Amino acid sequence: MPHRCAGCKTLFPDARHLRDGCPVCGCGKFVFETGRKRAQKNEPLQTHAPETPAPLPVTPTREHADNGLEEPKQDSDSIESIRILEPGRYDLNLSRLIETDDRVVRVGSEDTYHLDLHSMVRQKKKK
Amino acid sequence: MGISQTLSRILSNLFQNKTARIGIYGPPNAGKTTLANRIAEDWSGTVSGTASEVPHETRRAVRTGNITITGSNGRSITIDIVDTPGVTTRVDYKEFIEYGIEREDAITRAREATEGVAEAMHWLREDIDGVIYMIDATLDPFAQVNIMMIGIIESRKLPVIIAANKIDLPDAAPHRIRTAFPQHPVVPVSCLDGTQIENLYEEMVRHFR
Repeated sequence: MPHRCAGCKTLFPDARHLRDGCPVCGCGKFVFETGRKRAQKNEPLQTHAPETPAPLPVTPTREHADNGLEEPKQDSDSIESIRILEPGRYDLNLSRLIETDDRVVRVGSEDTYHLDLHSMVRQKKKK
Repeated sequence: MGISQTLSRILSNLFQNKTARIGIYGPPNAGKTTLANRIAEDWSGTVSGTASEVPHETRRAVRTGNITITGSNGRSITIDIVDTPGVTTRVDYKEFIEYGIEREDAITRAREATEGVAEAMHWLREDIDGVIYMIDATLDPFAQVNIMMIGIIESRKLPVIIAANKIDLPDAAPHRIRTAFPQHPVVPVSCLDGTQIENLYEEMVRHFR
């Protein structure tokens, strides 16, 4: 999930620096940034910090550590809202789910997508 | 819908007499339903839903309407409380099997929990005016789902109070939550036994309109 440093405005592709601060300027504040915002700015991601030691990994939550689950990596640019890993196992793309009710479901590890046309033609609620 | 109800709704909309909807969000087992029940009991004498130690017990959003909370300064707010399903980035039926639920039921429960997350996000986009974000104070606040959800709530410019829940437990560390999210009010609280719950009510009256 991309985050932008509030100090030097460097954009990072994930949340790895949230705990220890920005490796560029040391600032401890970050701003969550959606893929849409970034596309509007037409700006590439800072995939690695320049000449800095590797940050400590974020400690997994107790819940996930206990049951051996890893949190799925969230890619704000992915098109699916829900990925079915197998019956009863799902990855949820929160960034996508907050933007729209339209359901694009990815099945398994292959690039097979199911589109819920009903969710896409449903009348949008008027504000 | 009867004519009187329709007329009441039209008049209410006409004079913008809309009650603010406050969503209780957070990961599974953070204590959302326990808080919703406590608010409902304390201020309207009702019960919102069934709390459970099994994750994803709440799989549909539950709204409790017209709750009036009064602060110590005499100021009141009237709100609807929406208890939402736990938000997570992964739902796995095996979690439920660990609680003694049969495999088929666990798979069904996982599907319902997934639909519940989608519903919670729909409410957040369409119908929520403010958020109480619940975090279990005994866990690492830097969990991916917390970072993402706080970011999403900020991006939608919704007022948010973070409730650092479960301070009745010995390994609770609400200061870690304050460190993680210094930009938002953090209220340490135990929704189970009511410790410091009045601080949360004061913050709600101050923070929500």
